[in-house]
Amino acid sequence: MKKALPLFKELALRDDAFGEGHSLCPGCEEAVTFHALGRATDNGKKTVLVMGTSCGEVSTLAYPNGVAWGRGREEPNEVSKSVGVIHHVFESAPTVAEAIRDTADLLAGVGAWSGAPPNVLSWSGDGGALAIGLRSFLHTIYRRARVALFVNINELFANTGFQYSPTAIPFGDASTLPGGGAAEPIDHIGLALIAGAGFVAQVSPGFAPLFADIVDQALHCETTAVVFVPSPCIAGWKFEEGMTAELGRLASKTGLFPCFRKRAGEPGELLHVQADKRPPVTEYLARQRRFDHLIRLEDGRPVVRPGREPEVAAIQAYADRNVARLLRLAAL
Amino acid sequence: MQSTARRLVPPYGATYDGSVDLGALRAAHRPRYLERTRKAVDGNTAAAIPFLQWWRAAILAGFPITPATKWLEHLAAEVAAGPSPGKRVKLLESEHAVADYLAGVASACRGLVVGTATSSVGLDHMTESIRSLGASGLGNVMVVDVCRATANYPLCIEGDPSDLLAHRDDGFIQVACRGVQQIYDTVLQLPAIGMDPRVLTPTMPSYYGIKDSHRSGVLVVEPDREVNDFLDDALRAAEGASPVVEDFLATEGAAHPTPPGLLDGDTALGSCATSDWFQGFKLAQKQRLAAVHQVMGEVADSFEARFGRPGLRPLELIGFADAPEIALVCMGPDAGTAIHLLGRIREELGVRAGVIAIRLVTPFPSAALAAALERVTAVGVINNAHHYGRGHLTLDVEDAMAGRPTPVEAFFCGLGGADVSTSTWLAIARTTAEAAARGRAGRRWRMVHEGLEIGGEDLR
Repeated sequence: MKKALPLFKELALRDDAFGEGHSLCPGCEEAVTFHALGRATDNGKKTVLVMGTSCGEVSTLAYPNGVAWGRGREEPNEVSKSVGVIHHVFESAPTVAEAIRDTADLLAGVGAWSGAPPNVLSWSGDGGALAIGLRSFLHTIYRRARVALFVNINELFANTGFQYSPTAIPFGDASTLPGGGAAEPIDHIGLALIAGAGFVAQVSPGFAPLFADIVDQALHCETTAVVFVPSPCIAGWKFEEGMTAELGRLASKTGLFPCFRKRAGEPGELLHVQADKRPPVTEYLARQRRFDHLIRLEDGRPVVRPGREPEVAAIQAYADRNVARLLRLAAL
Repeated sequence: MQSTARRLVPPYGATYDGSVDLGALRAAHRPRYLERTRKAVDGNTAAAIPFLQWWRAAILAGFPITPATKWLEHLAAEVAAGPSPGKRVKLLESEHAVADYLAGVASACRGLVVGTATSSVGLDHMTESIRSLGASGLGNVMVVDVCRATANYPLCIEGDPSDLLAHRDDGFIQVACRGVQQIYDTVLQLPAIGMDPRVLTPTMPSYYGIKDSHRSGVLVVEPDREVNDFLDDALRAAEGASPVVEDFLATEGAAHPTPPGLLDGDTALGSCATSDWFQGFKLAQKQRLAAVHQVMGEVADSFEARFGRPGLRPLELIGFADAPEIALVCMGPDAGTAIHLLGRIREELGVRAGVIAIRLVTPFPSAALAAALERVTAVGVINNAHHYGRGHLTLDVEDAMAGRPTPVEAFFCGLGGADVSTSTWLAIARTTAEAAARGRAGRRWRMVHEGLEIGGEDLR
């Protein structure tokens, strides 16, 4: 008997809904995420994707150069292979997705939609979900809407030129906050859990098997699923080519953005991070020139600039507290 | 599956016929009114009843705000009172969320009608989303505006159209109503206009808060069967109509002049365009809005033939049978007072006066108004909303009369829902008659209350 492939390998054989025609930066992790979502949604169900204004939107829905969404080179023959994608206003993606789910459910309830319940996903940047969009984001969760909310976290408002975002770890350079500030990131996982999400996860596509599993779980969640995707931004963070996935993994391993997974009412877990045996945050910071005022690589080793030890120590302390806090949230 | 020819933007366009079976939704509808019914209702209820009657109005959304709240309360109570398959009332956390939600329902299935009611700062709070909806091509969206003064400093919850007029450029078809029958009949007709493939523009019926939202009158409610047949027939008749423009909504005429929905289509909505292409999108938007003038006439004819009441026309002309010398141009409930006083005005001033009540606020019926005013010797324009200059309505009237020497007197009255009294109407008519005799306007604008001119600005 043929052995079943792990999910992430099985997904690679599916038809992708994300293709050529996008203008994301070379090295952008969003493209990796979109391919993963594009394949995971080839599951025999109609797919509707709602995009808030973000890099991912402006780079994949450009007119007339091509919309990068759609399965195959021609329209598919079955509605279950088809994709409907909408960009509405900046912060609206969760609410618009909820409306689409409600419509599908109502039509199904009277026999007007006989297909399988569609995949309904929303995609927001950290601004669209956690700054200007926090109201929309939390209330859709609060109403337990059966949608999968994906939030790209790159700690900046990248689409508009790398301005400060409330998801930023301390002291990272931003165009509106040179040198960064001491504020610690908003507790996005805690907010989603407390608002009542049925499934909350944080994972980088750099961990491909886990990413595939979590997307699948999100798409099968019976209430609101929230997946935060820490996403290294090559243009805003200023790192070397080829480091995208590695930085995504380091964000977890250092405890700054650990992989996390929790179903409502069940114990959660931290993954790809060891509570007491983590690489120091300096390994992460030194590879990004947004922290160049604090630390740099010399001969491949992180070297803190003289006098900036307190800031680096503060970031390390935040990472330590973050892991402890997430362990507490996982135990709720 | 039917597919249009290769489109400008793949994957715009494929529609999977049969994937959404609207016939099942229609069959599930439980009629609220089986026969023509007369009942006493207020304006908010009159605006709500069609949403109970349409099988296409499957999902209704709202967030309360005075004086629009009863629209939502009536629907919530009616849907909760009995079995309502295929009908749901959705409560959101803000007006902005409501407008976002409308975008989701309307784009998911373009055969549905989805609506809400709001007012004043509620409409303002929707602005970001409303302006996008206005350009979206989602003609199946309706936002009922229960006009209320906006904004605060000071807060005034009574009705004037400053909210409606602040949203002139949002892209909606805006219609002013007065009285419960006109409100009900207007709501019945608007989806047939907005969803026409030549128009594909959302609609915004309006009536003044308190004066009409809370005033009861006798309403003739048509049976659900007729109400639904009217809209279904209108949309069926429009199926053969080619879109006005080729084609920034990728409609391309032929089989599917209305783009597919997100559920039954392989489609993208809300793209990001470069400025060169943006010109085309905006031109198409203007052309679709301009098509309202023709489509509204067709729908009104159909409405009159089916129901025997006046259809929705851009203007109401009263006292125009004998070529009036002066015309008073106004909108909203106070037009009724002017019409009632017309005989007295003519008698006391010794002048043939006529009244024009504006119904179609956007797109403004300039050609029809210019024709109506062709022979008058002076026009008085009554503005009920704050404006930095001579008044929103005044600017539109003057634009319609471009090049004519006819004097136009601009009046402000009834702001914040204040009474426009008999003495005020008489003062306005007298001043307009004096402008006719003089051959020019006396002042740039005047504010009138209880028959007294309480302020104004002299001509430069």
